Amino acid sequence: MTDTSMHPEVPIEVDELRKDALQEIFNISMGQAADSLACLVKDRVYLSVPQMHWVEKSDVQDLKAAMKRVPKGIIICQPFSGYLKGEILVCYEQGADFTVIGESLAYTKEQVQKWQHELLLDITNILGGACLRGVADQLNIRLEFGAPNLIDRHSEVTTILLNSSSIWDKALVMEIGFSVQSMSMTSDILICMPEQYINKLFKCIDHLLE
Amino acid sequence: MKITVCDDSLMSRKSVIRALPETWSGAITQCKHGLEALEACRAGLADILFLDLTMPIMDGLEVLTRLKSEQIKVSVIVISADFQPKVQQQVMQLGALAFINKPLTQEKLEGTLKQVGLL
Amino acid sequence: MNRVYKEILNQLNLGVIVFDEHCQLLYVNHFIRDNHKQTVGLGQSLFTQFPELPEAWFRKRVESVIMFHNTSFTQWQYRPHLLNLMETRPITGTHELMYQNASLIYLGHYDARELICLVIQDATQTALTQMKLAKTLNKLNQEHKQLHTLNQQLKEAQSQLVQNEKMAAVGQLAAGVAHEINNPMSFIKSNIECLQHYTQRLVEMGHYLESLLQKQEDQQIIVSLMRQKEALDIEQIEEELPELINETLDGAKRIQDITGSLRDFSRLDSSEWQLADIHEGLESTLKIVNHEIKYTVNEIVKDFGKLPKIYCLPSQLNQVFLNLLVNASHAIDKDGKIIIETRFLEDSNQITIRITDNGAGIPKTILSKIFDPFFTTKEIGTGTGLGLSISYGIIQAHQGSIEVNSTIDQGTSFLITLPINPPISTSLSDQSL
Ligand SMILES: Nc1ncnc2c1ncn2[C@@H]1O[C@H](COP(=O)(O)OP(=O)(O)OP(=O)(O)O)[C@@H](O)[C@H]1O
Ligand SMILES: [Mg+2]
Repeated sequence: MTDTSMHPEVPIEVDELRKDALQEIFNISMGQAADSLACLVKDRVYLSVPQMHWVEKSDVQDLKAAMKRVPKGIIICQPFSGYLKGEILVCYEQGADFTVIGESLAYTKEQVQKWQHELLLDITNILGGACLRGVADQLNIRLEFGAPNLIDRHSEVTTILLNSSSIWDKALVMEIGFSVQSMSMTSDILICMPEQYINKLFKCIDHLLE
Repeated sequence: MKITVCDDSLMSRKSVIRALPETWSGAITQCKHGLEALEACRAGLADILFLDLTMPIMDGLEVLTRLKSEQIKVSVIVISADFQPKVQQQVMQLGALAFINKPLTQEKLEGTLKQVGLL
Repeated sequence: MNRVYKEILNQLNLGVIVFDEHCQLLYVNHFIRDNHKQTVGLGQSLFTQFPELPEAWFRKRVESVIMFHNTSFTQWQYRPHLLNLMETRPITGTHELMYQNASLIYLGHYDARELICLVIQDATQTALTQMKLAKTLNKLNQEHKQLHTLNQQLKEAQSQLVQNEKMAAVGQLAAGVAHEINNPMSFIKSNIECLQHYTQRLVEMGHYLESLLQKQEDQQIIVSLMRQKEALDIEQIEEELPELINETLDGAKRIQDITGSLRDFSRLDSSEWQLADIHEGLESTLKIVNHEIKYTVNEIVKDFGKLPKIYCLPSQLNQVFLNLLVNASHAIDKDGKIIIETRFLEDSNQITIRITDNGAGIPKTILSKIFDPFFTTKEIGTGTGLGLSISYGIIQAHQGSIEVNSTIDQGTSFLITLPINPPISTSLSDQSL
């Protein structure tokens, strides 16, 4: 169950206890998130068990190998800040059907077509909020979200992460699959946190483990 | 009162143990997966079993099924992050006393224990 | 303290609206009051005070914000004018309404109510600049595309020109060689004709001598004559000699024919517009291609009408006929038949030339491409794919048209229409550029 793929050369000291705790915290959050999302969209919502990856930018290829799948499509990112800082990347592959989700957010069929990007931005916002709300609550910390942005229409997420001018070096990446029964396709959520904030994250966890 | 706590996450086991009523005393057995829990029950180490659902080797549903078929009398309280109503129903049908959503808090546990008459 | 907060809210360069979970309006700051088209009353429904808000959609957003305790966003790209707020610059502004980015924020639970705050940010400047940029970019892209096609056309024209020049050079060379061959050929031919007469006379002389010798007494001489005649095989020589000479003469004539038509075909003198007989051009072209097409084509039907001379570049037109005839023969496997029809359309002062083959035909999918330069279905090294594109250019320079009709497995037919008197100003090279 705690099936986490560890990077072999993680510089950060992550003992099993903390890893276990982090995984459990995310599992619980996903359960809560799936439940409230189902309420909102009135459809079966599925969120996979988060996969933890410890990544260095020089080895994004390893991340690619470790990931369950490397999706390609419209990529939307949303920053979060507060006690922790990071970004959520959501990738929507081509061919997903958003009509039912859209209807549950009061978009007509035509609007789903016409305003697909806005709809995806809103879905991303809701997903990000739902997934991290539980984490913030359990750790008893404050988290706020910035506006989501469409950053690419047709790329692999790893290409975005690899962008050589981006400023991160090492990061924790949580890989979560998201699907709604009517969507007939899985989307991918990556919750990414740079190294500096992971130590803060573990401080909170240590508190829980006392 | 003998208590067994079964969860693959150490943190979750700790949070259960931490939330137990102060008035309770007795041996506490910790299990990392369903099979260990089943053996603990067979060995009579559990009056009350706190049981997670999603676990390696043997999951919680399987433990409940075995306990029922082997007619071992244990009060089982399921604590899980899986919220699906269907799963909750199934758990109750298999003879669990109660279902608690994670994360567990002292108040939630106390409420539930009172509700099922264990407190 | 409360008053200080209120003052801050009123001084903000942002719109702030607070309402509860039923969208009942509780507070608006000055920014909203000052810029909204209508006056706003508190305690009312958000949707009566701001009828421009799409209600179903907005209520859903509010619901999700309350459910997840998070903030939801809208952007000017998708919801430019969420509220009917007026542009802040009434003089220098160019739009009536303000472009807006908005955030919908969950404030918390107070007095048995969920409180939500809508914050509006003026994005007009950014929006206008971005839209202007996008427009410019669009224009640039279009111009880029146009330049690209122009460039392409230029390249095509250039390659056509080069090819034309090459063909003209080859033509000149051929004509030059033909001329050189023609000179010795004419004396070879007249010499052979001479030889024909001379040998005839020599044979007659022999016969006369023989009959003289037969008449004298000395048998010895007669026997020795017959022996010698037999040894030298004179009878056979007499028999074959006329045939040999005739054949040689025939060969020489054919050489003259070919060199003559080569010269006609690429007429050194015909790089200028002149009145010319199309049938002559067709005939000389046929002679040129004959040896190339005779293996597959059994029959060439010449269905010639009565044509006036037309004003044209004859050598260029011959080039077109050559291309069409060679293509036709390439499309034929065996038992080929090529029909050449010419007609005079008196009404429109045009002539038509139709060249039809019974070859493989051209698939519909490539029919539109065959006139493109470098389009070929032939193996590398066999075809350059220039034949038809050059022909097309030539016919255009003559103000004419060339059309194709084809049925798979039945054959192909090219129809050329030419005016008898094209407007003079067009020269081939003008047209190509
Ligand atoms: N009479 C025809 N029957 C069938 N296909 C033809 C005929 N004429 C032209 N085509 C098709 O059109 C293509 C283009 O012809 P074009 O004369 O431009 O080039 P080419 O014959 O391939 O090469 P070259 O430059 O040697 O003439 C040919 O490759 C052939 O596929
Ligand atoms: Mg050709």
